[in-house]
Amino acid sequence: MSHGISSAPVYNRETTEYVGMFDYRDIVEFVLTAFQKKKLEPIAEDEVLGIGEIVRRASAGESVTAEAIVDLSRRNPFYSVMAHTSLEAAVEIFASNIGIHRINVVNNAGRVTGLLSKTDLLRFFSSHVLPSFLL
Amino acid sequence: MSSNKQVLELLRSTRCIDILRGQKIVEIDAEQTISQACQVQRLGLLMEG
Repeated sequence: MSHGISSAPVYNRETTEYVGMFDYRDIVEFVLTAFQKKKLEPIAEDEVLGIGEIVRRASAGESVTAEAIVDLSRRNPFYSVMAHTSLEAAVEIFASNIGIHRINVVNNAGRVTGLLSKTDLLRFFSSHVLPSFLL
Repeated sequence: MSSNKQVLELLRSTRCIDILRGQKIVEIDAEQTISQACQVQRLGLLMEG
């Protein structure tokens, strides 16, 4: 997005758990689905609202919560590591899950304290690792 | 630092939180509407800026 934030974790205060990532691609998917420009996908049992209900609400001008469209695009699932987790472990997560773009970094209370992106890792490599190889 | 072993050691000794210093995190309440959630993302940037 033009504001520089393309993704954010969604927190359910009742269950005190993160339910997923709210991503610009989910919004695009929602708009396409709501305007029936995209075929309805089968509904997973753990989804808050089925696609059909989301379309019905959108068509009726009713509000749809952020939680309902979390990971609608299936492109940015919620992954997390503890704050003290090593970068080695984070690299392994990125390497073994090709579709992941960000990993939530959580503190001991289970709350997100940062988002680790592939870009963050590249910056780290660029400033700490590459210079020594170029010497 | 010039060997793979040294690079691996650096990755093992650096914590994820170490490279995220100063980052502002934006969190969305599950009950917010989609339009409210988009607004939160915008406010998040203003806080950062």
